[in-house]
Amino acid sequence: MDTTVADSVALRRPCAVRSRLRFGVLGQVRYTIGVATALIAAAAFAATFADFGTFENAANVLSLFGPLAVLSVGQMIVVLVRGFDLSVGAVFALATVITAEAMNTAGLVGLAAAPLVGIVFGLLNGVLVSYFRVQPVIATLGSLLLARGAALLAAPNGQAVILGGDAQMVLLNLQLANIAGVPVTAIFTLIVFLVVAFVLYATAFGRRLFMVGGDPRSAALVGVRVHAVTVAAYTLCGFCAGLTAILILMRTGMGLPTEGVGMEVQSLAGAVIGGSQLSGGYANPFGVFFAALFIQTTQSGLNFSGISPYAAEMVMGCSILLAGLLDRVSQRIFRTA
Amino acid sequence: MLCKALKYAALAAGALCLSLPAAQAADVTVGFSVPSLSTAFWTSAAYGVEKEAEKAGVKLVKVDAGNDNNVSQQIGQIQDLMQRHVNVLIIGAANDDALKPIAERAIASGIPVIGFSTPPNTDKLASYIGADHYDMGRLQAECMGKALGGKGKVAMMSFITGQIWADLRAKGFKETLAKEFPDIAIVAENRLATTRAESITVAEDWVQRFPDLAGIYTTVDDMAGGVVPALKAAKKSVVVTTSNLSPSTQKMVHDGDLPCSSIQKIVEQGRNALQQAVLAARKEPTAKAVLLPALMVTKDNIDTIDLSSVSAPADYRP
Amino acid sequence: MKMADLPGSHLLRRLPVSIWGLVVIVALVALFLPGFARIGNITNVLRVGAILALASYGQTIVLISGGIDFSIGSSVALCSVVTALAVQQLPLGLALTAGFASIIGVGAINGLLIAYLKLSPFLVTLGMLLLVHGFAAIVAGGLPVEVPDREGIHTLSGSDLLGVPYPVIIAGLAAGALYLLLERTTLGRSWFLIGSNLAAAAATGIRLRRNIFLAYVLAAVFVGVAGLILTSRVAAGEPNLYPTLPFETMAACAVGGIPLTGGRGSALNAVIGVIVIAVLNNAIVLLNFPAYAQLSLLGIIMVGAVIAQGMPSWTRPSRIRSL
Repeated sequence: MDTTVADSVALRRPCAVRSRLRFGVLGQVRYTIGVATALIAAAAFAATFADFGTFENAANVLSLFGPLAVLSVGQMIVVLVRGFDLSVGAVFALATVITAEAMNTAGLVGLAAAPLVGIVFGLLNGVLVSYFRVQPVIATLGSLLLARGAALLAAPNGQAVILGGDAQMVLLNLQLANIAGVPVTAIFTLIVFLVVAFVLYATAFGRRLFMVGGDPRSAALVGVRVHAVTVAAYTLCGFCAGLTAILILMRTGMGLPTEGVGMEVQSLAGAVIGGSQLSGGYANPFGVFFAALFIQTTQSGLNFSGISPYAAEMVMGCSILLAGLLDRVSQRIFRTA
Repeated sequence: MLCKALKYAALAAGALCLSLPAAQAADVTVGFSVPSLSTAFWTSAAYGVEKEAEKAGVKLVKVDAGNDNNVSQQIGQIQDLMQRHVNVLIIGAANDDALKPIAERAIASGIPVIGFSTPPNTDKLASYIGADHYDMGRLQAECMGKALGGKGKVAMMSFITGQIWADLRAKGFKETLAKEFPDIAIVAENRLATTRAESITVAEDWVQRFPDLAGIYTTVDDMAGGVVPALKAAKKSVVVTTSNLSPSTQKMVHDGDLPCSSIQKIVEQGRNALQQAVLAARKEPTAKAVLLPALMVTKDNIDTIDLSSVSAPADYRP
Repeated sequence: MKMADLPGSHLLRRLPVSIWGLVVIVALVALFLPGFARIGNITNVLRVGAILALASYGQTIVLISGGIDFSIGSSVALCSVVTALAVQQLPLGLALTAGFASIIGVGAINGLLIAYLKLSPFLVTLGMLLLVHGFAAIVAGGLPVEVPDREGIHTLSGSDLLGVPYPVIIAGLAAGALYLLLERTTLGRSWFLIGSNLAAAAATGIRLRRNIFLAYVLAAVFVGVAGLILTSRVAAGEPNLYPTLPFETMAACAVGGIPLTGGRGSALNAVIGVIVIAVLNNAIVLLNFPAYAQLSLLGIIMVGAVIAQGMPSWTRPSRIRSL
């Protein structure tokens, strides 16, 4: 769907998959775009505002980019297998509501509800896309509507669900806590990314994901159970949405049924700026990590600036275009696929 | 020689004294966080705050979360403002309970918080500038009841769920109708439409579904701006009530297309909010609450209302 | 005598599978919903659907050529803002032209960035969504810019010709134009190839960059007409005119049977998809369910319709379809 003209160069060479795996993270220059953009944005804003370039602010930005980052990495897995997931925003909103209610009844144990909700919807999406042959856009749009409806139903009167007393304080304090200056939420996010990277690069399952994304027909011929792998990919994405719900609960202390509008597009942007291609076959968690960091840095920098919010939106749009341009330029310079 | 020097010294000292308060005020940075600057309500509020900030010579940093729903985004923005070391925060919360922890954290770190319209749900606010949304709904109900003569079928466009200000208006409307005009029945309530285009479609569909519909309640005047012409085009005479008073709504009330609109003096509230904010930033005593009542605007009294305190001018850009 | 032997059956076979979903849904809704089958309601549904249809024609072109367009919501908003501001100085016709030109401008920028700079369509149109929305908001200011009624602004969207609303006539004619463009011009045929196999298209000597650029510009023409009708309907310049338009067009195209991966599609697919979505939206309001039920029901029916479309292929041996 999103084939660029540059793809005419990227013919699917048989050894492409192997070389991606062998050289892993470092061999893929295109994925350094995320790092580059994050650094450029940070430097630009730090130069303009005295308070931006401090360790304190770095911790601030790190504490904020978690939800977008985790959603983006889930999206990256689905994009890897040639799909995308529009329901992530609605699913994490639903997860916050159900988890808040679960925690109000059962205490901290209720936190487990969040990833469970995500897994359920991930399974639904995966089954619809693979076994029922529904296009990802329709399948995930359908589950988006279903999740929104369910969230409005689960929350009394469609209002936000307040987390009761102790549980709320525990979560909110975690949001504020840091270990050696690095916010706990950032460490949580980093762990998620490390796990995803491990799965992608060091397990057979990860290799199968790349194979299905690269060429499903060849993968099937080799004996990969393409449908099962696809379902697993969407389920993982749903799981990430559930984890995001936990992060949001830590930030807000409430279940919010109407939250997350627009996050599906933002997370797709995070994945794409992080080097994924919507036509599938490419994924690098570290690119996505820095892409999410870049987006958050830009947003925080714009908040600092106090410019008209309308102008801030234009700047955000320009920076997304620039990120795409930088990606192209680096491809030309380094001549990688 | 000496006289001249003394004269200049006196002038300089005088100038210094005059400029000192301004210099003091220029050191104050006010952070203003709202859910969304795409609505007429917050735009008018921002206008009031900005104009007063210019007058007082303080720096104003506006952030908007993009959407009435973006609670976590707003919390993140307030975190950024705190990081920027603003001296005081004015917060219109997307969700009052969710914004409570971050507001209290700001207060604990030495940044006083002024609540605006939908304040964070904490009692540690330096001040609260309020509007009574429930009252706005109540006034719409009274207007509707009178216009319908006490009976008929009414449909409501109550905006999306989870927005406390919209929910309060809807609640005020429903409860007042139930109490004072029990013969009026609410046959439909739409909680999905927010834009003008969507409101037009819903109104057209309702006209088909309920041919004897007598009244439509709209939460904001942007919806009424679509519904009224749509009903005219369908040649249906249905009473439409709304809240807020942007320039186009003013015209509709003038021309009799709208029997009334319930309003608040949003711009004036914005000005009050900034005044209280500057007081709080300078550690001076603030008023605990500044409440401006909701007003009903009809064809009869629209000329007596100072519109500049109600709505931003058409060419204002936040 | 088999179904396949009936006269005219070759035409039936050429219809997209989605048409049966459409027939079933319309039949169910007409039978069971009070108020749906009235002329007034059907006219309303078609009138609203016409706007979505025109925008979907644009999305169809972009999808066939292997791209995607997220910026159409912002560009119709820009059109309304430009028109509303222009009408203060210029006569209505010129103002509408200015609005139309602004959408073409956005399409041209998209095309330039995607075709000539070879950026990703997703990123480009997403960036433009934000850029154009912010720009429209700055230009309009915080409040909607009203277009006074005396300008005759409502004529385009509100008037009928022999009972058929103008927008429906325009959408019908545009469908014909889209069909001709896709089936009968080299440019249109080239998009199918570009969308399904870019390398092969490059090898055949098609002027790739020019054709992709033109895809976005011509798509903008259809979106521009949609924008004009929408502006006429709303009679105001609003930066937040129709933010969900890109998703609705994608849903309409997909329900109608156009894969988002590119390379296939037709005007008929788009029309079918749009009618299904418009009928469903109308049915939801007529049913008057509470909000949560409305959303859930819409999702279930939409997915159900698409699953049903795919049912004939379940009997064939399972092949791994490119997703």
